[in-house]
Amino acid sequence: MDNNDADMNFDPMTAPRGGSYAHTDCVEAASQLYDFLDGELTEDKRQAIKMHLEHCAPCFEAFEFEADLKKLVATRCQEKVPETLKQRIAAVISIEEDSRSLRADDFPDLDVN
Amino acid sequence: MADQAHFTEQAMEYMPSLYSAAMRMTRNPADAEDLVQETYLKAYRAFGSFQDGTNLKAWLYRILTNSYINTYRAKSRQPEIDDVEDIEDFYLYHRIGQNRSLMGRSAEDEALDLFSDEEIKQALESLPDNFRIPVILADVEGFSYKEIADIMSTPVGTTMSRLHRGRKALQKALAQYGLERGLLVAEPG
Repeated sequence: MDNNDADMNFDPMTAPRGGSYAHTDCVEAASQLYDFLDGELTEDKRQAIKMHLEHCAPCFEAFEFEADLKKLVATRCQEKVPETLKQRIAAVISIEEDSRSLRADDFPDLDVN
Repeated sequence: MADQAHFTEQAMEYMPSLYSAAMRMTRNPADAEDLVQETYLKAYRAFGSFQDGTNLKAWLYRILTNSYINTYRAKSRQPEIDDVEDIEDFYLYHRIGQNRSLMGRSAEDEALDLFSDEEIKQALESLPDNFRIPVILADVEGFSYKEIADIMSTPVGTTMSRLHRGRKALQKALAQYGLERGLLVAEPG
């Protein structure tokens, strides 16, 4: 990469949105943000983005924010299962198991499986 | 062929994540409990058709998602919204950056901690189903694009597009909460 200086000087915070000032590498990286965070890029493309982020502090920060937000959604949206639900499901499955073995016992000559 | 006798030992460990997803889908505990119970009952009955060694968690999520769409979405009688507005990349990051003085000069990632659990949940729950479900499956549950496409029975391209647009809509919703709480000020211009 021979354009590291240009990368360092580009700031997506101040660059006009959608304007022509945005650095091509930054625009390219932004377009692959989610595929990168989701681990859905090929190794070549992943390395290219990683390389860009190592040399472009503004993009690195913006990507880091997006990664933090993704983690935040995961950790803040966990729910504790109510005990009553665990018991209800165990009871429902138990009734199903009983009725299944009952059917099998009623018809010993039939192979229910 | 999976043996029903092994259903409980294999499937029960997924209850916390299924219940968390059900809460974000139905938006209330009573419906979430019914949905998870329905999912386990259907899964138990169909367990014979589950291929041992394949992805049990994804299989359970497919049953959960289909049950939600067929039962609860139908019940809500709300028209299915198939669109969210286009929102620029890094929307929330930019909005927080513009408000650094208000956010106590904290770094943008620290500013995220100012949002409460309820605000994060509500922002997610504010998205239309077709955008909310991919975000739940990807961000809360960590499924791959291919797995989400299989669970939702949509092409991978459609799935990705909805996931990406859903995430941006989530950011806009969070920015709105920030605005209401005075953490952010209205965008200049």
